[in-house]
Amino acid sequence: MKVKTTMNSRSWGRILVGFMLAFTILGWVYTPHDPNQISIAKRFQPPSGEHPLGTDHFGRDVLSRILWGARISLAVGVAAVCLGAAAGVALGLAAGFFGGWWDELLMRLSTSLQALPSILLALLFAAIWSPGVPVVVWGIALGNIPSFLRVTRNQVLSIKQRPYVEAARALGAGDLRIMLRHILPNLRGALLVQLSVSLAGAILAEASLSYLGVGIQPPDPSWGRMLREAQPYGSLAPWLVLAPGLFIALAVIGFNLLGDNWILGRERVAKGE
Amino acid sequence: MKRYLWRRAGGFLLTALLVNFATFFILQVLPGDPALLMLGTEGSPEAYAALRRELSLDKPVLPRYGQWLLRFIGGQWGNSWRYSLPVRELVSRAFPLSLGLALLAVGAAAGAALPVGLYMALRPRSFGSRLLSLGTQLGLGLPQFWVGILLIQLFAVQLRLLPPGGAEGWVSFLLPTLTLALPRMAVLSRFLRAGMLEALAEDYVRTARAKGLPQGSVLFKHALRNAALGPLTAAGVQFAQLLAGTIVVEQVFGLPGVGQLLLNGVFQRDLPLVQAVVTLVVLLILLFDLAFDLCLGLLDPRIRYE
Amino acid sequence: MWKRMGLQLIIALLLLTWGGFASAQVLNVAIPQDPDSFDPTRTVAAATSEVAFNIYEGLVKATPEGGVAPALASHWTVDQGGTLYTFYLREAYFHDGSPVTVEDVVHSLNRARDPELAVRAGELAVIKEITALENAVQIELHEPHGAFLYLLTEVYASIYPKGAGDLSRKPIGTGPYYLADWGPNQRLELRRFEHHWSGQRPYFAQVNFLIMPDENSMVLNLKAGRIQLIPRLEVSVLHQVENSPGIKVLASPMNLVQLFAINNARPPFDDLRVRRALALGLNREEILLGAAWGNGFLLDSALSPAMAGFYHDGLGEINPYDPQRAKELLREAGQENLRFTLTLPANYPFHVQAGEIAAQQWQALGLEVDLEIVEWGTWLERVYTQRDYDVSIIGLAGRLDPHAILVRYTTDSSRNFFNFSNARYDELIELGLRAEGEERRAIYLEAQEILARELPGIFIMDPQQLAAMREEVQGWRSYPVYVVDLASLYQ
Repeated sequence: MKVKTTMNSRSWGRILVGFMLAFTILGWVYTPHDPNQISIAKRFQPPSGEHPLGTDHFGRDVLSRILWGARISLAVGVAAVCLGAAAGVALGLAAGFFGGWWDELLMRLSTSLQALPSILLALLFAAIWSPGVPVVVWGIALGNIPSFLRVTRNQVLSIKQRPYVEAARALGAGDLRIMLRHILPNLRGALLVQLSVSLAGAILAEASLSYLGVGIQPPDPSWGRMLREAQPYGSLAPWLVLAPGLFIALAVIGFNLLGDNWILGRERVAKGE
Repeated sequence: MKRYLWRRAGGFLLTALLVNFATFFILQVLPGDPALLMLGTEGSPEAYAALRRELSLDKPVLPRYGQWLLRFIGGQWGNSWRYSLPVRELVSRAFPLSLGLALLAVGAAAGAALPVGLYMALRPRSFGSRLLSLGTQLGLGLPQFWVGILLIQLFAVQLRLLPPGGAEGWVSFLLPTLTLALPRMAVLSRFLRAGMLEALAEDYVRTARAKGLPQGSVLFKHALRNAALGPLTAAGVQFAQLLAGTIVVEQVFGLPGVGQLLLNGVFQRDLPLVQAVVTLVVLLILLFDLAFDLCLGLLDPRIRYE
Repeated sequence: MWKRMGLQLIIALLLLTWGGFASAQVLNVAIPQDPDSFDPTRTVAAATSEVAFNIYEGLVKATPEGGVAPALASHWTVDQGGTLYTFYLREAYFHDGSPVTVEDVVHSLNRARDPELAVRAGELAVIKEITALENAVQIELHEPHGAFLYLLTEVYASIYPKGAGDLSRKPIGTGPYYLADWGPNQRLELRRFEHHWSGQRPYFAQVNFLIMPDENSMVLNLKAGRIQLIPRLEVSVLHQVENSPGIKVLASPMNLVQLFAINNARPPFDDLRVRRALALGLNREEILLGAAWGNGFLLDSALSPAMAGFYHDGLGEINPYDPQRAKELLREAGQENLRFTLTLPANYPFHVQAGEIAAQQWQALGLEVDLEIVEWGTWLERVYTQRDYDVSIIGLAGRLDPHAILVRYTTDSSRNFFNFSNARYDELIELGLRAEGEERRAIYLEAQEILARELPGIFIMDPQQLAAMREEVQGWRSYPVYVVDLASLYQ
C-alpha cells in the first residue's frame, strides 16, 4: 500500500516534468497565435475558445506567450541553477574539506558576493555585454553560488569527522576519492532541496533582471516577465496572473517531486523495504 | 582557537576592502555619472561641469578612492548626493528597520518551519504531509509582490484590521513580516524535512530506536540535532540576504529600509551612500557569519576549528 | 469567554492604533519618491518642485491658468525698452519670523544666477544686474526677454533669507507651509505657516507626503483611507480606482510632450523621407489607447495644448497615419529593409509600452526594429549626452513659456539631443524673445510648423495628469507645471 502511493507520487513528478518538456518543445514549433502580435482592440479578453488563456494588456494571446516563453524560463532556470550549483558545490567541498585558509578565502569571497547588491552586478553585466540570455544565465548563476557553497561546506564540516570517512582515510583513500565517494552522496538531501528552492528563485529573478533592462529584451516573453507585466492588472484580468503563476508553480512542483523521491527512496532503502 | 580567530580577522579585513573596492569600481564603470543623473533632461554643459567639479568627479579615480577610504575609516561618511543628507543619518535610520525586519521574518519563518518540517518528515506519506508539501512548493513559486498585495487587499482594504503600509507602530510590521516569512518558511521546512528524513535513516537513530529509547528523546536529542544543520545554514543565508534589504517588500509596504536606500543610491550613482551601505552590510554579514560558525560548533561538536 | 474578550481587545487596540491616521485637518498625500534637495540653487528634480511650491515663493508665481501672479512682489513695472524691471515688495515674513527685505531678494537672485553656485544659473543668464532700491528691486536685462517673468516663477528663483544656512534639508521660505520633518524614503511633514503674507490660512494644518514607490500599493492605501490624495496616478492602475466608492479622479493636461526622438544626424535618419515614413507609419491612436488607456491628447506639435496662447492646433494634416505613403517614402529613400534600434528608458513603463506598440507598427511597414531597454543612467549618458542612438522615446516636461520648451530644438542648444538643425527655426526662436503679443504668437506658430514638417522627432501625446483623491477632498487645482497646490485644498 505504502509502496503504491510512493510509486504514484514518483510518477506524478515524472509526468509533470515530462509535460513541461513536451510543452517547451511544442512551443518551439507551434503556437496558436503569433506570441508577439499586438492588437490593442483585443486586449484583456477573458479565456475563450480562440484564446484559451485570454489576452494580455496588448491583446496578445496568453497561451501562445506561455508556450513561447517556456523555452526561456525553463532554460534560464535550469541552466542558471545547474551552473551555480556546480560551482557552489565544488567550492563548498574544497572549503569544507581542506578547511583553514582555503575555507576562509572561499567563504569570504562568497560573503562578498552576497553583500554586493545584485542590482549593481546586473547593471555591470548590462554595461559590459549586450543584454540577452547568456547574461541572465551567468548573472543568476553567480547569485546562486553562495547558497550552494554554504550548504555544502557546512555539511562537509559535519560529515568529514564521521567514522566512515575516517575509516576510508585510514584505508589510504585520496582526498578526491573521499570527497566524491564518501562525502558527496551524503550531501544529496540538502542539495536537492537547495536545487528546487533555487529553481523557483531563478525563474522569478529573470523577470526582475528584465525590468532593469538587463534581461531578455521585449517583445519576447518569459513567465517571470509576464507575471511582472501583469502587476497592475491583477484585479482586472486575473488570468494574466494565474496563467504564468500556475506554470511556474507546476515546474517547481514537478522538479520538487522528482527530488523528493530520491530522498524518500533513500529512506525506504534504509528501512529495508 | 587563537589561530582560528586571527585568520578570521584577516578574512574580515580583506573581505570588507574587497567589497568596498569592487563597489567603487563598478560605480565608476557604469554609464551615467551622478552629475548627469542629478541634472536629468534639463542639464546644460556648464551646469554639468560645475557639478562634476563640486562632487570632485573631475579628479583622478584612485586618489579619490584613497581619500574616501581614509575619511570613511575616520568616521567622516560625507553627504549623500541623492538625498542631500549625511550618509550617517540615512544609514542609522534604515539599518535598524531592516535588521529588525530580517530578525522578525527569519524568526517567524523558523518558528513555523519547525512543526511543519517535523510533521512532514515523521508522516511523509500522510495526506496532511502531502498537502503541506504542495503548499510549501507553491509558497516558493509565489512572487513576494503578489503575496504582499493580496495581504494588503485582505487585511487593510477589506477587513480594515491592519495598516496598508508605512512604519508607524508595531502593527505596521505584521504584514511585511508575514510576506517575507511565508516563502522562507517554505524553504526552511523543506530543509528540515529532508534533514530529518536522512537522520532518521541513519544507523545511530535506528539503533537508539531499537534500544527502545523514548520516541521524543530519539527525535530531539539525536535526529533533530543532526537535521538542524541544513535549515540553519539556509536561515543564515536568508538572514544575510534580508540584511541588504528587500526591495520588493519595502516598495509594496512603503518601508524606508536599506533596500530602498541602495536601489535609489545605485540608480543615482550615489557613491558615498552606496559605499557606506554596502560596507556596513558586509561587516554585518561577516559578524553574523562568525557567530553562526561558532554556534555550528556548539550544535555539532564534530565540527572542529583548527 | 476570556479568549474571546482578549481577541476583541486586541482588535480594538489595533483599530485604535491605526485609526489615528484619519484625524481632522491632516492630509496625507502619496508621492513616488523623495525630493532631492530643498536648496533652490541645487534642486532639479520635478519631485522636489512639486513639494517646494508650497514652501518657497518667488517675486511672482505661476497660476493654474498658466499665467503669472504677484507673490512677494505686489506689483511691478517694465520700462519702454523691455530691459528694466522694477519689483515692489510687499510686507511678508519668512518661516523663521524674519521680515522679507530687499537684501534677501538681491541675495537669493544673485545666487540663483551664479554659475559657480547654481546648477541652473544658465537660465537666468539674461540678467545683467540686480539693484536694491528702497522697498523695491530693480533687475536689468542684457536684452529684452519675452519670457523673463516666467523664469521668476521657477523654484530656482525662490526667495530665502540672506543669513540662511544649509537649505537643502531645512528650507526657509515664505510659502503657506513649512517643512517640519523629513524622514528619507518615508515621509515629509509640512505644517501650516500662520503668518503668510496673504493673511489666509490653508484648511489643512498638517500635510504629510508619504513616499510610496509602488503604484499598486498607492491605490490600496487610498482605498484603505491611509492617504487621501494621489496627485499623479499611474494610468496603468487607473482602472483600480475608477468607479470605486468614495474616490474621485480628476484629469487635466500634464503639459508633457511625449515624443519619439530621432537622431537627425545619423544616416539614414538624416533623410527627411525616412523620418517622415516613420511618422506616417505610426498609428498614434493605438498608442494613446494602448499605453495611456485613451487618457491623453494626441500632439502634432512640440507644445502641449496646455500652452493655450501659443499652441498650434492646425498641424494635424501634416503627418496623418498613412502606412501606404510611408512605404512609398521608404522605397524612394531606398530604405525598405531598414533595421534600427529603438531605445527605451526602463524607469518609465509608460514610455516602454508606447515604444513596444510603435515597434510593432513600424515592423508592419517591413522595417526591422530591435527594442533595447536601458536603465535611466545609461539613457542619459548614451542617448541624451552622447547622442549615440537611432530612435528613442521620452517625455519632455512643459514650462510656462514656449521659449523654454522650443529653444531645445535650436542647432546650438546643448539639450538638442535630436541633432536637429534648421536655420529658419533658429532665427525664429531668436526673434521670439524680443517680440511681444500677436507678433510673438505668430513666430511660435511658424516655429511649431517647421518642427512638424522637418520632424526632429515624432510628437505623440500629452498624457493626462490624473489626480485621485477621496471624495471629501475639495479644491484641487491643476497647473501646467509640476506642482501640487496644497493651500487650495479643503474638506
